Amino acid sequence: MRNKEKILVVDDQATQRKKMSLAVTSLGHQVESASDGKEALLMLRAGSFDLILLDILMPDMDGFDVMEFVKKDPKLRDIPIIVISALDSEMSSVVKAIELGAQDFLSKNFDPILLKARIDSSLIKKRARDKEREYFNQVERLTDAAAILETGHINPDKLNLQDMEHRDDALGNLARVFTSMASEVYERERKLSQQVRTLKSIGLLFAIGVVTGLGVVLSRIASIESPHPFGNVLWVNTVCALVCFGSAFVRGKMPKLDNRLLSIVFLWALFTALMGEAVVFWVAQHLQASYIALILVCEGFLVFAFASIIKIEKATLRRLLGFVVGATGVAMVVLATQKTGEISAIHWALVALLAPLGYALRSILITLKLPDDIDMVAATGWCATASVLLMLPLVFITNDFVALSLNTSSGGGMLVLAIILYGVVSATGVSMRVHLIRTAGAVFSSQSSFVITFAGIAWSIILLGERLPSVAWFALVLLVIGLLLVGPKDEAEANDPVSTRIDHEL
Amino acid sequence: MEVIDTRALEQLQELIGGDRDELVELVQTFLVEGDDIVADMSSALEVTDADLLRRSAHSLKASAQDFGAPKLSTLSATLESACKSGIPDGAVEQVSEIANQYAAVRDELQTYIAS
Repeated sequence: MRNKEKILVVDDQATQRKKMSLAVTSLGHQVESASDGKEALLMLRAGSFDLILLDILMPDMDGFDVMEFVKKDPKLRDIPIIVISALDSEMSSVVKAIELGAQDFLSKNFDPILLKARIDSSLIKKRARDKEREYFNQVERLTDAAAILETGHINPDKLNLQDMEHRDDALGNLARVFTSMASEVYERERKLSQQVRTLKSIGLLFAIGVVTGLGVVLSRIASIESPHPFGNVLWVNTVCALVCFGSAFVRGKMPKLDNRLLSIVFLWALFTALMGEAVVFWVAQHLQASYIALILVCEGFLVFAFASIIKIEKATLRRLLGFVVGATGVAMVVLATQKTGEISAIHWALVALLAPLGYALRSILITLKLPDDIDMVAATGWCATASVLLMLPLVFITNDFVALSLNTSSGGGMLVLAIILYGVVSATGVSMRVHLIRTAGAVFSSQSSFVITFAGIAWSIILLGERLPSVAWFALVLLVIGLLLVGPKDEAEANDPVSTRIDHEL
Repeated sequence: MEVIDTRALEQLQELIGGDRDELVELVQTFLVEGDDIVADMSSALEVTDADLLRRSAHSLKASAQDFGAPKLSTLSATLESACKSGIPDGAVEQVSEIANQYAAVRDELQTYIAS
């Protein structure tokens, strides 16, 4: 059953207004009434009416004025108007009203049959016009959708054709064809884009591994020249901060350090410098390097667990399997290349777990809290600065301060070079890591612990001329399979340049 | 000519959906508005407002016909058309006659709705 049509009765005379309202209500319509032209316009703009029954002779704003406003307003001009007149004295007014766009006219002393006939006729025309407008509007939407489709790939939801798909006419068919075409293209583009992102992310992950793995070698050189791990780290972070700030400053990307950013970088430094680096140096005196490397691999599983619990990324069995495969690869190469013995002090292994926990918390912190508009290099610089401030007391407590000297005869030049290089490598590696967390997600980027371990071994082999055991190649294959299984976070839509552009244009 | 034609009132009741109570309410609305219109006519004469006089006559003309008062409607129509170019000669008499006729219509309508 059709909804009741809403009719507005406009008459300044209370008796006539009431008579007309009662008569129209008795025909089964919904009626509202206005006692003058201004009130009528206010009601028309506030509500939705299907017909206006309008008296012509009214004080202040008469029926002609009302018609003029209605016909000028694009939202109101299609509402049919029937003018009410006393035919004997107002024939010329009726003619004028029809010239102004009135649909019909009715005498003040109307006959009920005539009233019904005129209202019905106007409403039928209004319904036909509404249908015609809806049809044209949908044709226009289809044309827009076609133009969007022509630009390439697009999210089918953004074609805005959902309601048209239910039509059982040619327009409905066309809408269904467009949506299904868009779905196919979109899905294909989305998969392709995800594959490209996976490959790019793997490339970046390997670059991080290569750069950071070099850092491991440089730290060994530095510790040979100066056996003060905390002192060395202090200098490395200082160089790292200087390099990052220099780069950010030259590029005009130095962010203002507000309270929020300050608390983020201090937490970040706490997780990486104190829980990460300092703990690794501390336990290194009690645990073999191979075990530390294996413990550091736990970072991936911890990030996966955190990300699943707080639901920032998809936690699937496939991704978990990827971590297991990757970690197996790393374990194989570590066990094949490094001497292992029994863990003499299991509690040191537990302490060492603080390091991957710190790194995992760092990844989650960056994902959740670091604003996207902060430059990644500048952010790295602030973190390094915070690390220096946090490490200072530790350096003085352990009496580990290193005085740098360029005196080549005492080997100082080599130490300075190693620290500067380590600082640059650290700045590059950490900045790339922030970028990877932002683009591929915390879970994927946590696999850098695998790659870094691998790359550290590879650099040692290259620089120290060791032979790579054949099992390492198999382990590398496992590592890559693991990376592919984990894959970057799925956000093709957010990174889809075409749909973003169209959204902007629309 | 009779003051009111009750057949017209029956037709009016049919037009508004056949409810007697609503007809009674509509008549009461007319009587309140009719009093105002007749008062407006006198005021229009006092301040020489031809437009107000014409509009008042116009309003009374249509309603009088609805409520079965043909004489009142005719008197109002005559005054309305006479007012097109200012207040006509004899307007005072015309208004007086309309007021008297309206008073008679009023009495009969009240009797009708009380019955």
